Amino acid sequence: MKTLKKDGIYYAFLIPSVILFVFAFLYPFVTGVNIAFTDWDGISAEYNYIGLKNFFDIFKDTTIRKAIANTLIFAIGYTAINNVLALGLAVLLNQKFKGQNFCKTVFFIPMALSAVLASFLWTFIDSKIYATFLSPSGRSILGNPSTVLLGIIIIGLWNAIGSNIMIYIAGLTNIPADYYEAAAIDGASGWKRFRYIILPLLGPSFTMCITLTLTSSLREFATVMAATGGGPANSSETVAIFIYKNLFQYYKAGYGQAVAIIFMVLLMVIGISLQRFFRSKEVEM
Amino acid sequence: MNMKTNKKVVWIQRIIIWATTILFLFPFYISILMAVKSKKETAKDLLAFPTSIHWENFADAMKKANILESMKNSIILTVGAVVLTLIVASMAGYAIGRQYHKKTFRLYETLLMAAMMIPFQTLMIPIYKMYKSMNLLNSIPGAIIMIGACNMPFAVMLFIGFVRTIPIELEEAAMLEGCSKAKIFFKIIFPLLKPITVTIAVLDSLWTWNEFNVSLLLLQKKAVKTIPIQQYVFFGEHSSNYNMAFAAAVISMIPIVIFFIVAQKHIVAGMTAGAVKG
Repeated sequence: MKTLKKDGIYYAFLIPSVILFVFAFLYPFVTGVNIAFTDWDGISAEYNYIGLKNFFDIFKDTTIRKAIANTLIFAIGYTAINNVLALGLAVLLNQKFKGQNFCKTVFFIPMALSAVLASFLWTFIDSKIYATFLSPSGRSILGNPSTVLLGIIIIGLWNAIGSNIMIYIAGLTNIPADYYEAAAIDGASGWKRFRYIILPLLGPSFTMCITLTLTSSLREFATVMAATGGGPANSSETVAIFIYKNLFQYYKAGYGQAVAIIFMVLLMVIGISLQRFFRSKEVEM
Repeated sequence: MNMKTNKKVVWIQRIIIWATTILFLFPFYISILMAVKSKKETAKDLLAFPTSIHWENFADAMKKANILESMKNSIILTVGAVVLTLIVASMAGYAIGRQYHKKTFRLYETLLMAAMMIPFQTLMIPIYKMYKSMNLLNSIPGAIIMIGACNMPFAVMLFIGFVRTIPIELEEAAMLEGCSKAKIFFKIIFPLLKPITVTIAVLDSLWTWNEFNVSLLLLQKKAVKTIPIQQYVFFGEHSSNYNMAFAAAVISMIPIVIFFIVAQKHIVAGMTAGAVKG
């Protein structure tokens, strides 16, 4: 009796959180699974159960193939460029020089702005400045179906690379100075120090940055929506946009939900296996 | 020889870092330049300086971009959602952190981690349906609950980590004095959680202020739009009057950039939490 009373308070402390969890995650998730088996259009009160039809339709759908390809190109491209640049900039910013803190702040500040604002600034720069003064063909990056994804990657980088720079800098400062000193005594060059000391010891930072960047860019919605809305001619339509359009434009909420569930399963598998892979490669300090 | 090449490398590195810094500043430069130019001057020469500062762009933007109203909505939404997350997550984080050896609490922690991995798109359609049937669409309190809840799992994780570093002896002493658990939490533990509470408050404020997905779904009427949603529509509509649009952009940048610079220490702390420990 006494233990129940003693522990009861801890359970009571969980209650508000459990209510929010059920309201925002569990209940929508369960109804979502239900919707995926219906032909609901997103508006009317009535709908019919159609079994697995939505899931089979995914395989026949050619527009979703394009959306999947766009999502993968965007996410892999974004993750690779982001991490290479962030790590490089972190190494440079981690050295002492005049204006070091100013430079750091400049790389972080775009994180303060919404994806909408970042997209507005860069679509202007792209269409009015780049296309007029710099582009060899006179075309803008975002207006050209073959380069539009690169354009969105650039907007995303400017807007969000700061967080990875922060994490890599934290990882770099966390490497004990003895390691550098030992390497200096052994006469290791800058590149060798980077390759054999910094890279292996940054394990936890890699795990976090690469997993987070990839899983968040696979589901990126705001930047694409604000920069192009999926255009021109669906050339930047990602799975996230595709699901949104099924609810608000194509009136196929049931089908969109089936896609959303497959999308979630794939994201979880990718996220967990990436984390496992990187964790297994980490070196103990 | 070695010294010389080293010096060269350092120089190249400095050039790279400053060039990138300038590139990152360029959009801010363009924003301010466009915001203070007249339409005529912009048409004549896009990148030239204006002959005088055209403040009327800002006045124009204040009127047409509905800035005051959307700023009010953004402030209410952000404060509401952040307070909700902090209260709920600190209590849950304390309970889980103190009962970490118990399976039920660990299971709930795992559920919260799984919730963080669910993409918003998977919950979007059912949430829309649920809010429609509850008449909560276009309601700021409704959006506060949803955004507060979406920010909750990550906040709980940070609270759990922090609670586990607080020695339990403090609570045991207070128990002997006859304090109730609830009193212990609000009088003793919650004040001790201040550093992590500030970090979470700062990060969640930033995220909620810029939130797009939930707001686009739930806040569609003009009167309830937050700044990002208002701007999403506004920039689309006023693509011809760039000067006014940039004035609106600059006005909306000022408060959040000041907030970011003032709170930068906490943002870095929050973003890197977990990265070092792994």
